[in-house]
Amino acid sequence: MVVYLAWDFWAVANKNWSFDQKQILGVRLLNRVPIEEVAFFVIVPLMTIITFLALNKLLAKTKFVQEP
Amino acid sequence: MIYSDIALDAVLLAVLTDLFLLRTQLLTRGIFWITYGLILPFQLLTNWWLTSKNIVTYSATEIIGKRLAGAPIEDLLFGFSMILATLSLWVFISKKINPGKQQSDRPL
Repeated sequence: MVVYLAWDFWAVANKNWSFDQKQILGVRLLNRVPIEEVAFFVIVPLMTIITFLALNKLLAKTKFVQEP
Repeated sequence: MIYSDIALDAVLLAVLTDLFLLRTQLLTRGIFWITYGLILPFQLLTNWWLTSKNIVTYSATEIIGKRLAGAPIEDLLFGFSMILATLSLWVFISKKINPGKQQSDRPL
């Protein structure tokens, strides 16, 4: 997460991508990355892990997954 | 086309991490690909929403120019690398903390 946030900082600074002022809250981390982006980098990995664990549980009940 | 370069490097780094650095070998397991397949449509949906309302704008000089659902195709590489890196780290840490007990240790 730290690595990807760093990439985001760099990309915003170099204008690889930009955000519409009117559609963000306006609070930026160190004047660069909108806090919405910070939230994105918290929520997406979290949801990725939850999806992965849920699928593991779900598929463990079927014959797709064998016991180790 | 800096974004293209970094996105490719990110995928390479995530793959190396999964296969060799942490040896979580998620790329060889079906469960990873099912997880990715489930997340991908939602990434595309979000990309489309963020770009169609011009909430996020990409600099035309930093991408190769091909777009999918509004966002540069580089975004797919970025998304894939982040999902792989996240899960690789997660599986690695959960194995360290709780060897042999985690659901995520199972084959498939």
